[in-house]
Amino acid sequence: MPVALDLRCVDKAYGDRIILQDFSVTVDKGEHLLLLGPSGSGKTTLLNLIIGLLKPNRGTIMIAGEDVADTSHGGHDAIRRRHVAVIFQTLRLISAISIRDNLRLTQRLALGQADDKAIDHMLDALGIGHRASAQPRSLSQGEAQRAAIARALITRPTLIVADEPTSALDDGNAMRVADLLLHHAAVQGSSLIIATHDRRLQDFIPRSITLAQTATPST
Amino acid sequence: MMLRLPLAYMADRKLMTGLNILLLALAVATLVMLLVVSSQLSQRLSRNAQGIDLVVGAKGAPLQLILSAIYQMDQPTGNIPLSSIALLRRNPMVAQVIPMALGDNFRGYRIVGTEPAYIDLYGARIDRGRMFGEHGEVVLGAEAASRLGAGLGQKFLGSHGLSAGDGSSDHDSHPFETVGILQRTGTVIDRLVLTSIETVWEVHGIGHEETAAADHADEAAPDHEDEDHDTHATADADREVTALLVRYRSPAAAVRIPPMINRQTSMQAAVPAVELSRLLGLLGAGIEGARLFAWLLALIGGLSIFVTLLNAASAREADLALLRVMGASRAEVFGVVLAEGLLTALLGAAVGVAIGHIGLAVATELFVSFKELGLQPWEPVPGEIGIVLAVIAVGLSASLLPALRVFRMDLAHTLGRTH
Ligand SMILES: Nc1ncnc2c1ncn2[C@@H]1O[C@H](COP(=O)(O)OP(=O)(O)O)[C@@H](O)[C@H]1O
Ligand SMILES: [Mg+2]
Repeated sequence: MPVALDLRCVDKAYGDRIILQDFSVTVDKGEHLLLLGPSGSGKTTLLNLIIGLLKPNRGTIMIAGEDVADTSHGGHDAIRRRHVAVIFQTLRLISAISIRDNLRLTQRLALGQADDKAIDHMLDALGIGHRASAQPRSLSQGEAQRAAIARALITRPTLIVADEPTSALDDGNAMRVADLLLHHAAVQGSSLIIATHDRRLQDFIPRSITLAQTATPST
Repeated sequence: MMLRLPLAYMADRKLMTGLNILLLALAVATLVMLLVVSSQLSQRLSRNAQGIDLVVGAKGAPLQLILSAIYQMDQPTGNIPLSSIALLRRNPMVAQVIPMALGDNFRGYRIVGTEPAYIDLYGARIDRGRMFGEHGEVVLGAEAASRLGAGLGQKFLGSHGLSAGDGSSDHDSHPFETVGILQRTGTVIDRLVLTSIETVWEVHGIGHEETAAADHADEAAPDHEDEDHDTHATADADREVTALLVRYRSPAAAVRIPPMINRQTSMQAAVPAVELSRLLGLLGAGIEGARLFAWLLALIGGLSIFVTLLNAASAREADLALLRVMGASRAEVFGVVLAEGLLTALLGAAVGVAIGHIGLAVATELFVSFKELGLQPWEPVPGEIGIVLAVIAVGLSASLLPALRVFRMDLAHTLGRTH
């Protein structure tokens, strides 16, 4: 089984506040992983390390066999482009352009060109095909969540990381969103890491790791 | 690929974008108008004065004499005796003397009595028909002909005064006949109705009684002087001309002839080159002032773009960080911010150039003096490219600082914010 993500002996601290120490995890291609832990335990920090927004103090981070922690900036961008998609807690849809244009822009950045047919197909599959031309700010919370999921899926990435995708939703919506995300990730074979303190998701994803509160200032 | 985003951002805050474009457009329009007017003005002023070393006319302001005799813009200073022609032609230092008798106007186009040499002076060729000869025959300048819609063989009556609506009655007894139409020269001659001096005399002078009701407010007009103020009894005394255009044979003439005329006769000699540079100097100061104001306006436009983009950049920081995470390079994200400032400046420049030329076209229709100058409102001036480039540079430098924020952006922090 090819490996999508491989973290080895990663240390991460903000100043002298240690968040991760000697942390290792491997996610196979197509595998889904739930990243649990209370608020402040370092879930977002870990995701930011994976998507390259943060540098580890120590250790290696490999995505699809390429070292993200150790590449030059240009190489870094290229790996993100090709392999990783992110669903942010605050969604981060670009509000000045339509949902379809948000997806087009993502496709162009990742694949070099937009594919309107694939976009319409994806939006239909997520039940927001009729909102394709709408601006993000006119969407409901549930619709916006689906749009963000569509944007993550549209480039068929090796790895999708999602930060608290269901925390803001009620039970019914949370289940539907989780179901959609897991289903479509599985269909296209993308690995999936969901960081959440929402234990409802454990019913969907068998494999989980839990980060402990590591608020132990080193002295 | 990344062009759609800056456009979307511009559309997203239409009011600010529109305001910035308007500010720049006003600055560019002002600059373009000043540039076109000043460059066409000095070009036309000197082209029209080419080959004329000296203008001799009645005493008065020298600039007025130059403007009326060469540019057909002002009222003449008065008339001078016919004998002055012979006086100058006798002088061995003089190569050429072209007499002019300013007549009336035909629907705003001045009727000038002169000799065919005047037409040669501007290198004007007959386009259709032939040179005026017999009394009553006229040759039309290209623009006068096309604006009046006049054809060969057409007969018309002149109106009193030098511009349309000046006088009260038509000279009903002496119709003119168009016998020739000149090619376009880009000089003052394009807007004239040319005829022989005799024809002008005939229409105005001898034995022609004015109706008492005629209003003669503009005393300077030659016909009026004759009829109202002077009481010359003889026909010969009525035979006056308005001005003489003189070309020297030798450079020495420049030192000798003007003092001779000014001291020994009741006429004045004005040097076009001297009066022109004085006029351009006067205009230049005004134009410089207006130009300074316009650049100030452009600077304000640049500042406004700067403030808009700086505001926008912090509001869009999350968007830009997102682009980075999705794989856009720093340079691409930098380009998005830069492109917005650049597009704003470009639109401002384009709209400004358009407004500038439209403004000139409207001005030429509204103000007679613009038309008399032969201003071509649609004729682009090379310097306009410089203005457009300068405004683009303003837009570019205004967006540089906001765009540079992209490089200092803390992506994790920006995207982690929960607002
Ligand atoms: N840039 C930072 N500088 C300093 N401390 C930070 C920074 N980002 C996060 N932290 C701290 O690190 C801890 C882990 O944060 P985070 O990864 O956001 O946890 P989670 O996502 O599990 O809630 C928190 O205590 C937080 O205050
Ligand atoms: Mg978090």
